[in-house]
Amino acid sequence: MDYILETENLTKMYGKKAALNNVSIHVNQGDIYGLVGRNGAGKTTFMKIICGLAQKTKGSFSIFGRKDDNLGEAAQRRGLLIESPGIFNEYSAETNLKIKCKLMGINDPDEPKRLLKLIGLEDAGKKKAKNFSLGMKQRLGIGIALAGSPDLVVLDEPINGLDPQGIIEIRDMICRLNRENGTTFIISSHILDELSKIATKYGIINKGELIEESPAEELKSRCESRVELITDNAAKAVGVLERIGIGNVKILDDGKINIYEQFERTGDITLALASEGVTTYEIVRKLESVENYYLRLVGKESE
Amino acid sequence: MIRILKTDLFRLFRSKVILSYPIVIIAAMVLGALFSVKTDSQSEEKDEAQVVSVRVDGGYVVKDYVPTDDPNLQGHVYTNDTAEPMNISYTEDDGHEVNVTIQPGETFVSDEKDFVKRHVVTNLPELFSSLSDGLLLLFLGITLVIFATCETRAGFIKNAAGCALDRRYMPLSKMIIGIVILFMYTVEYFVIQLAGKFVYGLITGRTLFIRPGFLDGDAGKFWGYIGICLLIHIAFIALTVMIHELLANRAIGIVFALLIGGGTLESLANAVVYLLNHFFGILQGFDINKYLLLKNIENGFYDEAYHPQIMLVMTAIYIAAGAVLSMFIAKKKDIR
Repeated sequence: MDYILETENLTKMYGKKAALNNVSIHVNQGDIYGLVGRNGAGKTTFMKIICGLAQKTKGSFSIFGRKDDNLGEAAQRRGLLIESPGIFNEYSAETNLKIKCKLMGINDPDEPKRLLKLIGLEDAGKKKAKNFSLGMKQRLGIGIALAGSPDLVVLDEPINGLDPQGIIEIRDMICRLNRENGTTFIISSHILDELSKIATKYGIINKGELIEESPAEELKSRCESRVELITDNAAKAVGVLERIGIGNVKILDDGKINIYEQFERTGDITLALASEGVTTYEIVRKLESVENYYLRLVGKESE
Repeated sequence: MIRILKTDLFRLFRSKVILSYPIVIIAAMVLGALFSVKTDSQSEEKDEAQVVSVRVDGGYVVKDYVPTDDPNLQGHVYTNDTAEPMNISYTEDDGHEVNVTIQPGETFVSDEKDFVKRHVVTNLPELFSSLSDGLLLLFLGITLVIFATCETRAGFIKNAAGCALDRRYMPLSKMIIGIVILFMYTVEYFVIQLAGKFVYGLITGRTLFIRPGFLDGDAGKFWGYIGICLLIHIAFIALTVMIHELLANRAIGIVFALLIGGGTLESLANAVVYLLNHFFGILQGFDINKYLLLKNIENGFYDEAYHPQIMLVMTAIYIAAGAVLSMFIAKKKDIR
């Protein structure tokens, strides 16, 4: 399959420490790729490398079929917002966009205005960026990333500082661009529930390693497999579960037991527990959030 | 490359930092003019007292002065100690030919003072003196460092590097921006000086007179010197951009400009050579000043140990090293 972005064993070393270790991800045309990981997991390093801001130590990547050592015009088909919005505070929003347009070789004088409208800042175009709120700056940063209608947009924590309304607007804008223009997005975010509303594919990075890459549908189906169990004796119940072959469980602080394995009938569990003298108060299948799934996955990796 | 340069130029002409230099120059000139009006009127009174006779020579007014110890008059005093009349011919700075016969025992003082009184006289090198005094170097360095680090501090460098076809063009663009600033500041200084002197002439009722050529009147040598001065400044630009690429630190960049523009780095270099010479007996007879940026400019201006060939070679080495290293660093470094 031809990927719009493909990395192969991408590695970045800072001294002896691996910030990124053999990461191989695959992004299809039209994906909204959610990059998930803790602070310092290597998400930003990964994004910097694929955007040409940092040198890789090992491995390779290709964008639009062009190898990283010879990207050529492919470099101009990507837009980015990494770490900070990358704006000049002394200039107005429109001037900031004009600067990016010049950099991209866009001569259309209406392009800055189009971008301002796209990011919902058409009324603040003449205002200096230093007077912007954090959310407005973030939007302007996204506008700069979208200058020239790039085919691949890399956004690092794009909803940082945005109010709930702003988050919805940015989410809608991403979905619209993805739907109407086929723009591919790689987005990292800590707000996983928000990311889960738009992502079509996930890559989970922990300690510089890609621990899981799967389409959103697949990941959601895994999340659904959680069963929540409340009994009068959690410790004894876990022992019973292990005896009947259910080992992937976790006791929560409030005594609840989460079971992460797939099985057909919950009745078998209640029967087994009852036969061992454990009273079941409640057993219910629950939809696990991506966030919980991620935390469980990362927690397991950490162990 | 063209896109990066266009973007940088777009930013440059919207940047307030480029106004700092002309503002400082205008302020210094206004203060200087106020001061010189005062001293000029004082010296005028003194000069009038020294005039002993006024005569007309070929329609040209010549005032005779009593010889004084004034160093400005010493070069223009002719005394005939012989028993025969003595003929003196010379060309005034305004091109007027003067032929004077001095009788035995007479003393003649040329009319330089009178000429100065009728004109606001300036030397062409004076209008370019910003190139020789290190001030331009200082402001050039500071402006360039602020301009370049602004991009880094704003984070815009990520946008620039992210869509650059080749990151090596980025420092090259900064160097061209440095050259644009250099020419802009040089022209600004020239125009401000000229305008200031013209206005001063209008106020004092005198006309502006520009003496062409270098200090010894050699115009070719003067323009050669200006050319080399500009090249040395370009070498400084290359080094500044290299330091920026390496460290991307505004404070260090400005300190570097201060050290070079203020001559501190040269004093340090001389001190190191002296110590090596004194304690280890090495580098004896080695004149490091031949290879230093500002020292070469100063030497050239004052015609002391003027080595245009060495200056040219050193400039070429500085520019090439600065450009190549900057491009290499830009290609290899991670952008933060």
